[in-house]
Amino acid sequence: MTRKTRPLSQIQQWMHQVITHPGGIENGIRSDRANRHIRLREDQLDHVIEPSQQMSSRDRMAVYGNAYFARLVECLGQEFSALKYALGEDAFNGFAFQYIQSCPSESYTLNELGRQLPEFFRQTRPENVPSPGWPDFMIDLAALQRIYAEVFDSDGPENTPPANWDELKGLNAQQAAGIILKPFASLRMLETSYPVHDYISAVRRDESPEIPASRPTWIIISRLDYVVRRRAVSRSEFTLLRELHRGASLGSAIKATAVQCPDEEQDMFDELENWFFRWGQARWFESIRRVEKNG
Amino acid sequence: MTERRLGLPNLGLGVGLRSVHYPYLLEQWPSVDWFEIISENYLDSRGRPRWVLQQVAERYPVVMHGVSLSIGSTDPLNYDYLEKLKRLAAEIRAVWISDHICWTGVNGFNGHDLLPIPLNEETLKHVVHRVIQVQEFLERPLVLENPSSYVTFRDSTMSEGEFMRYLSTEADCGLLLDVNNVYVSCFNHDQDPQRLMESLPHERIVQFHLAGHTHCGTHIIDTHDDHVVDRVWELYRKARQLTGGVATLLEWDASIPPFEVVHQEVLKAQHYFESDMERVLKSPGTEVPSGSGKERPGLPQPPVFVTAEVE
Repeated sequence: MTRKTRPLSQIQQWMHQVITHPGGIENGIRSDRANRHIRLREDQLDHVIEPSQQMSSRDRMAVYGNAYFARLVECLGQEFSALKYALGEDAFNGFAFQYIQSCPSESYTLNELGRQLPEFFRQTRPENVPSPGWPDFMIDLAALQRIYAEVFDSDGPENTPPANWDELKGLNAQQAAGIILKPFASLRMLETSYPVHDYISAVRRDESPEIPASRPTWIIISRLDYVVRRRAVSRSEFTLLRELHRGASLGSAIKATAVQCPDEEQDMFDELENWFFRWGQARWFESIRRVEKNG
Repeated sequence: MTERRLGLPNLGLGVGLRSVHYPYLLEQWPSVDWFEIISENYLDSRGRPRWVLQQVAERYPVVMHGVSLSIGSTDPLNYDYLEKLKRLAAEIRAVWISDHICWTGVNGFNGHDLLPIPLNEETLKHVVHRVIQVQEFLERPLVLENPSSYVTFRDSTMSEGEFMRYLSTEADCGLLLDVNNVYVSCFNHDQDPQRLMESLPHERIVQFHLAGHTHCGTHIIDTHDDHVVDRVWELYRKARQLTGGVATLLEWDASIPPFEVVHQEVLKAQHYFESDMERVLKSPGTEVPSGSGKERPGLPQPPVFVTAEVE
C-alpha cells in the first residue's frame, strides 16, 4: 500500500520559506510563513527532514539556507566589484543581504539579479549625509557597473556595417533639421556626481584607489568588438548625444544643446566635426538618415 | 560498446565552456571532443558570450545544460524560457538539452539552487507530466541529471535509483549521470554509491558528469572547484562498465584553472580505459581534507555568472 505523504507543493512552499529566511533556518522554521505550510517546532524538524549519521536535520537544512544568501551575495559582488571594494566586503555584503530580501530573483538568469541594485541604493540613501556625499558616490558606482553589465549583453555594432558619416559633411542648419541618427542599443549615457568610471578602472587594475573628490561627470558607455567602452565627455557633447538618443533630429538636438549649455555653445560648434568623427570611430550610431519633410 | 541511447551519440570526452577560457579557445582552437554550455549564460546574450558560442558551435559539438528549468517545481512551466532554449538549441545545433531533477523556486522566485524533491509517487507523477510537456514543446528528448543533495525527506518513499528509473521510462527521457553527485549524495545520505549506480536504468544514461567537490568531514559539498577525487574515478569506471560508455564531461566552475588543466583532467578518463589506472590515481585527485588548502568550504553549485568585459 502506498504511504501517505505530504503534498509536493506543501513541502516546497515550506522549504522555500525556511531556507530564504534572513534570520537563518531556525527562525525560518518558527516563522508564520513556514508554519502556514507545515506546522513545526524547531525541535521537530526531523519530522520533515531526516538526520544523517553525522548531521542533524538542522545542519543539513542549513546547507541550503547558508547557500541561498551566500550564492546571491557572491554574484552581486562579482557584478558590482568596484562598489564592493569601495564599501568594504562586510558593508557590501550587508547591503547585498538587504537587497536580496527586498528584490529576490524572479528570473531564470542571475544576470537580472542586480538590475534594481542602483535604485535600491537611491531609495535607502541616508538623508543626513549632505549631497554630493559618499552615498552618492556609491549610487553612481552601482549605476555605472549595472550599465556595464547591460551593455555587455545588449545588441551592439559588431555585425552591422558602419553608418555613412559623409551624410553629415557640409550640412547647413536646414539640412541638419532633417537628419536622424539612430543609436545602437548598446549606447548608454550616465551623468554622475563623481568620476566613477576612472575609479572602477583603478579598482580593476588593483591600484587601491581612494574615493575621489566630487566632480560632475558625463559618461558615454558603448560597446566595440564585444568589449564595453566608456568615455567621459563635455556637458555639451553629452547633452547633444542625449537629445539624439531621445530621437531628436540633429538640428533640434543642436538647438536644444545650445539652450541647455549656453556657456559651451561656441565650443560645440567648434568641436562638432571632431565629435562626428569620434562617434563614427566608436560606432555609437547604427544609421544616419535624412527625413523628408512633407509640405 | 558505444550503444546509442534515444538516438543520441557518444560524443567522447568534453569540457564545460566557461568565459575565462574564451581567449585561449579563440586563439588555440584546441582538440576537444565537445563542449557543454550553461544555457542560461547564453540565452539573453547579444554580445561576446553568444558570439563565442557561435564560433565554438561551428567547430565542435555543443550540448546545452540548464540550471533553471525547475522541472520539479509546482510553479507553472516558464514557456518564455523554454522558447529561448528551443531557439538557441536550433541556432547552435545543440546535440541535446539537459537540466536537473530538482526545483529552483516557487511563487515565481528563483533561489538559483538545485533543490531536492521528495522522492515519492506524487512527485514522480508531477515530474513525468512536466517532462512530457517540455519534450513536446522542445520537440526533442530531455536529458535529466541527478543533483547533489544534502537532505532526505521523510516523505520520500522510493530510492533515487528507483525514481530515476520510473521517471526516465514513463517520460521517455534520457539521464545525465553525474558520478560526482552520486558520490556526494550517497556520502551525505549514508548510502552505498555502488548500489545506487547498479540500480539505475543504464540504457537511459546518455551522458556522465565528473567534477571535484569539497569534503567537510560530516558532509560533502558539490563545489566543482578541484580535481576529481580517486573514489569518483573508481565510480566512473563502474558507471562506464554498467553503461558501456557514454559522452563524458568535466565541470569546473570555481577557482577555474587554465584550460589545459581542465582538459587534462577529463582526458584522465581515457587513461582509465587504457588500463593506466595507476597513472590516474597518482595524479592530483586525492580527497582534500576539510580546511586544508581551501579558504572556505565553497558554495554548492551552480553559481553561474558571467561578468562583463570592460575596456
